[in-house]
Amino acid sequence: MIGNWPGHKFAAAFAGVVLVLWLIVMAVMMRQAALPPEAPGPLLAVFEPGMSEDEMFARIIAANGKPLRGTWLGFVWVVAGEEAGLAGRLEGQGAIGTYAELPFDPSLAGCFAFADAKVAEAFSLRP
Amino acid sequence: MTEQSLVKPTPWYYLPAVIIVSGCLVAMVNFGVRSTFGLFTTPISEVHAWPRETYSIAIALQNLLWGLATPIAGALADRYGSARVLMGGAVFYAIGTVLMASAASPALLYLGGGVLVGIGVAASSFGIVMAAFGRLVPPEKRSWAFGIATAAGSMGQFVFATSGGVLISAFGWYEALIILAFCSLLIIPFAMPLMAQNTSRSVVPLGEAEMSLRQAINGAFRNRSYNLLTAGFFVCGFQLAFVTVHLPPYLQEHGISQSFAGIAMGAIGLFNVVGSYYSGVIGGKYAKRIPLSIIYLLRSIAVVAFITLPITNVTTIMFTASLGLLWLSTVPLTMGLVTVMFGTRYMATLYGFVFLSHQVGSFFGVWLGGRLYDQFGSYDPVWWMGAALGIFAALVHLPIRERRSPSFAQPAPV
Repeated sequence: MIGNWPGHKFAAAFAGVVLVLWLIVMAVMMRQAALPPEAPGPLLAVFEPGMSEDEMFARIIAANGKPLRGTWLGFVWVVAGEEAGLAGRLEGQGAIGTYAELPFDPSLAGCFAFADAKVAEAFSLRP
Repeated sequence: MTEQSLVKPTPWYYLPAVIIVSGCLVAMVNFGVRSTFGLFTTPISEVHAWPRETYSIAIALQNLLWGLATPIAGALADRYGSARVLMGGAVFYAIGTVLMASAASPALLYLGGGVLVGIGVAASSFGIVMAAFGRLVPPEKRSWAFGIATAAGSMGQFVFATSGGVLISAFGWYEALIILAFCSLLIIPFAMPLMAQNTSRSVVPLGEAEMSLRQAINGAFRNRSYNLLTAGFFVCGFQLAFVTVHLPPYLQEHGISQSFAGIAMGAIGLFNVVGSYYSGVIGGKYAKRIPLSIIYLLRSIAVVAFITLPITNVTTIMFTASLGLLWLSTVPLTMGLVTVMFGTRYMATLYGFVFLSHQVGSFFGVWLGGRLYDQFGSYDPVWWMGAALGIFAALVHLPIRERRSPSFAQPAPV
């Protein structure tokens, strides 16, 4: 095969491009996954990471929502509320987004994949 | 007509950088799509009112088929070229994933998510990509190429596993699986530049003996170094599968919070990218058996340190980060040794058998982990067993003869 074979800089650039593309795709899909403003609860409200628990609690109350519980991700709360428009009101109160569910599974699938329902359920964020 | 105009320029898709990117993208998709399957356990089980065990059996079958089909896919790749096998694997992968989504009975789920996806994963796996790299990349860059392919696979896990959940949230689980099936078909265009490689039907590579596939397999299994390598890779499978399955409950038992356990497991994936890449780099500079032996020794040291020290967030993250560095870092070195000992002509087949041993080790890691936990009420016996096996693997790699096996070398001219 003719030509110069790449090296470390190429590997770093490849990883960088993949990460940038991943961030773009994630941003687009997170917008796509967000609930419309008129959606009622129960739902997941995502606040800025680092916001205090009291602050998030107060904002949920101000949006006429009922804070049901926090999640393993400290900045995501499960919020109830049957009134339409809860999603929009939460966003008005500073929530970054509201979602019906955010499944997450930290199980590794290298040369051996494993579907552990308990692990998947423990980490998945569902109202 | 000038002399210059007669020289046919290399098409852009056969340029070295394009070949490496293509192989890496194939590895990313192959590892990535299947790393999302854990996310579908709950929705598929709930919608059909199946016990969770049904889905777990399908995934277990997938692992088994991946192991069994790898030597066969390897033989086909050696005969017809990696690119064609990767493309065929992508079709199996996609059909299996679609069948998983639409399976109305456990039998169909086993067929789709277990058998077809298992075959598809085997035929489009990084082992087949590395076989193409082995033939296309010059020997001095080969180990680096194996490293970057393995690292790309690890990166694919991260990219797809995080995107998979959002995909389900945005479109629903069924649509997400169909999208992932289409993603697996991307392997077809990604594999195109790998068509440039030669096959076992091509002219015998310089320095390699003329022999049939059967002769190559027989010759390899009569080679002590190959058997030692195969035994060592069994340990790799044992350790990795045990940690994958049993580390989360072990951490929970020792009071590590769920969120931190998730971060710790994620650290394995992250550090794995770095470890895989650099093991390829190291393999290109030094004798491969030595770093391989050191990796297994370090794994044992890490395990012993982890289970004997008090288990805290700090020791947990240190353990998973170090294990991540040592996770798939065995792969480029193992593949490299197969290439050094037997050449490139039947490398996919011969690596396939080594990998089968890995998958058998995985089975025992998972099974013994559960079995001995039930018997002793503790994971400690299996941790110690894993550490002892690591020492065993470190030792068995040392006597490996890192040179072309005599029966695989071209006889010297008389």
